[in-house]
Amino acid sequence: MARNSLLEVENVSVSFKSAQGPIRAVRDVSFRINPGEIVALVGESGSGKSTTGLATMQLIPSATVSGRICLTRKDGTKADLVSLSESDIRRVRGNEVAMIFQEPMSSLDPVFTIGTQMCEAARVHQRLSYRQAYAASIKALEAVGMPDPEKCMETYQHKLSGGMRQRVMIAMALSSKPSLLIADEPTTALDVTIQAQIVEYLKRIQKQTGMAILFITHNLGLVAEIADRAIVMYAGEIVESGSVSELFTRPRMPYTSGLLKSLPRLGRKKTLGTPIEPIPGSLPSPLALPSGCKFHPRCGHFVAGVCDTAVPELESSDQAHQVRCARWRDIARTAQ
Amino acid sequence: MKNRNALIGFVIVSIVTTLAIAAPWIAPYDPATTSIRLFEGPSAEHWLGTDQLGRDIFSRILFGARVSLIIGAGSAVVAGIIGVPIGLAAGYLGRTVDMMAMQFINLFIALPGLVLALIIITMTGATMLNIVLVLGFVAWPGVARLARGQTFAIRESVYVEAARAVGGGTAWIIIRHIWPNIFRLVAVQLATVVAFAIFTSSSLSFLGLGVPPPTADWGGMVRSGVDYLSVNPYMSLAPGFSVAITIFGFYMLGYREE
Amino acid sequence: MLSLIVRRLLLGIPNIILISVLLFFTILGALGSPATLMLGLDATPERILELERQYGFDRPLYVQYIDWVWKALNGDFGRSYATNQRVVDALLPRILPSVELALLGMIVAVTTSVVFSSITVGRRIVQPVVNILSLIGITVPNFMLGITLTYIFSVVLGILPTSGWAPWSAGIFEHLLHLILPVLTVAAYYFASFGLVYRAEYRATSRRLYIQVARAKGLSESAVSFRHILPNSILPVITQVGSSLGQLAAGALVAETVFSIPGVGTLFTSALLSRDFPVFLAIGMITIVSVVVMNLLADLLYVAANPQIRLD
Repeated sequence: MARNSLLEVENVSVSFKSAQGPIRAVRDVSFRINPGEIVALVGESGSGKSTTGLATMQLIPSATVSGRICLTRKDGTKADLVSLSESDIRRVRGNEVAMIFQEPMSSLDPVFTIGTQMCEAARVHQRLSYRQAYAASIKALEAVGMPDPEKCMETYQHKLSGGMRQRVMIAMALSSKPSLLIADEPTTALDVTIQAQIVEYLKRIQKQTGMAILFITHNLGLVAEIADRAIVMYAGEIVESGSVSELFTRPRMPYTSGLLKSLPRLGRKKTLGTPIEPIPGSLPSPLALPSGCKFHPRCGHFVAGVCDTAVPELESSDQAHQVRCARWRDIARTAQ
Repeated sequence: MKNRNALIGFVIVSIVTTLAIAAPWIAPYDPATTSIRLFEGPSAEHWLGTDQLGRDIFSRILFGARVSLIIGAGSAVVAGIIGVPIGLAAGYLGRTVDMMAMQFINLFIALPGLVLALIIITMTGATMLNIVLVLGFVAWPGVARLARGQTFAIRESVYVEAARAVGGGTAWIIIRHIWPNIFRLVAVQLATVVAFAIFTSSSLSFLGLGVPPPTADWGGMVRSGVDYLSVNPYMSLAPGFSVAITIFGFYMLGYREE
Repeated sequence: MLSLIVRRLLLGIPNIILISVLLFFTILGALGSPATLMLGLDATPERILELERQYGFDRPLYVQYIDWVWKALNGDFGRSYATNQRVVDALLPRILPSVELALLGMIVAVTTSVVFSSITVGRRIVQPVVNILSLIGITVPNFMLGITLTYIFSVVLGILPTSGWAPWSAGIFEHLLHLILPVLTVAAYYFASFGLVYRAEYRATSRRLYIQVARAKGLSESAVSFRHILPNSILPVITQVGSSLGQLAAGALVAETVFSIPGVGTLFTSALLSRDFPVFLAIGMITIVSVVVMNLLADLLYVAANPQIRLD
């Protein structure tokens, strides 16, 4: 762990004001991302994973963010994004940390051509002439496998399919060569075949540029395909984290195992016999969180007096594997 | 927010209505009685002073409220009588009826209501009844458009489907199921028609083409005071303020935030 | 897009003809004899018949309509009953002041409304104030506003002329000085009604994902609002401009009377007051038809400015 990490998120909480009191959508989240690493942030919708991503970019003006989000900048200095001024954070957005979103269909401005928006992205941070920005944009579009990039530059978004729009978004995000890309469910709104293509491009570009990716998703199948490491979130907290192979083979937290069991596993003969088991119940309302472990009302291993009293700590179960469960040792023993 | 707007509107409208009804009892003078005390400023006897014929401005404003409210309410009734059936028919029957009605409605909405009203009233004579009819006629498309949109939405709902399934006739469904559901919103829209009618009728009077003198009418009072702004500004400003606050009240009552 | 414009025109032209027919038939056929109107109720039947023959009111309505339109298209609107002057000659010198007033009012209203709204939307303290100002702008009748402004700036403060019109020949400064209050009077309603629609649109646009994306690119707040939110919010508002042109005409008409501007509006009111039928018929028809035409043009502008429609 001697490596200098690119992003260190320490004790970050995000809360929103509401008529019924503050909503603490993200609580005490800490993790780090190393340069060139692909980290997946996994959870159901409402688990706080997207909020964590947006908070990193300081893109939620209505929320209060506490804690530290430390970014190693391109020039080697470190900056805490939470306390950065508005004008300084703007130099980080799109330049050092770029973001792509879930809905490519509405990510592009309908009144401008793709070219105008690409050039805008390319010119914000680098003092490029229009001609240079144009050339850079064409290159970026080629890198994401856009057929006929010149023509694409002249069209409007409504002429492009969802997959094409997401490629444009990726190209736009890459134009300033960011060191971190936050991809918030980038393939969720797309067809399965297009999903696979986009994931392929992301992986290829990651290899070429060496940037790190924070891949936010609810889809564990994608996690296995793309990520080195995964962080599982539930009800605003991190409940488990570790390398992808570790998590998939030895999940410690019942929630993670539940997610894995609910996953349709194509092409694996062994699991043909075991049916998909969805996790019963649903995510608790952030205004009425259960006591103790937030997952206990849905958990098959629930023991009264243990799980519903104290909030369990996030502890290391193994080297580089952390879990938040009061009974993970018992569960691991019985599983063996 | 919405309720607060409506509440402000309701309070203003109630005050104006009460004053209009009680005018004969609370007005200190007869609105038409002239005196030799011309262009007087506000005093204990004449709260808002007197006009060019020595009439008491405050009393004239109280009686003017009656004229404005009658025209406003009358026009709203006329607009409702024309607009609601057309809107209901267009929204419920759809297809050709709807297309033709919308064509008409959109055409009418774009017309300059004041210009149209001026011509018609000049041709027919400026009586209260004519003004009410004309302003109702100019304002109906807005009512029809709202009624149509609401009907459209409700027509597809489950209970109308159910009513149709048990064999309810068109007229029965419209009267029993659709009208009660859109009534509230139509009433709210009619409040803005009242605002429009008072706005336009006072403009007519201001141009000298509205309710003929000697009726105490706010727009006409403003008109007669224009030349004496430096002598007694209350002659124009007081009735002008009354029109503005009344229109504001009705507008707030009918204001819907998108 | 060309076919779309052609289609709109094909729908719009019958509208224009329809409205002119309706108007003409209502005015001449349904509302009473113009001859009686011009002569007064105590006129002898012989005198009325004579006047009807003189003006051709005794012909069938459709003949009168075709005749009127044909002559109008050739620039002949008949002669004034009151002055025997040709209507065109009375009308022409008055068009410029009216158009200038309406146009300036509209430009002032739209630009201030857009800039003002873009800056103030979402600001806690400023926004309610702007909303209340807008409501006042919508509900205070133009004549009241004009008179209040005159009272404050001319009578009390004495810094602006009370009324009247200074032609361009009087010097541009003098010209504009006389225009300030009338333009404000015309613009207020427009500023307010336009602003209400625009701000609703602006709020809706600012919640769109592409606005979030623009921020994520690292654009400054002002760049986000003026480069992305503004163009996207203004498109739907163009139709609003079109459909409230009638209000603009009405506002200009009243403002002209308040400030004694020698425009079409004052000619119209005086023609109505003196029951000068040929004059007010001409002005009424021209105004209403041109409002409908402008409305159609605004529609076409919307089509032309919207890439989604334009390119399909």
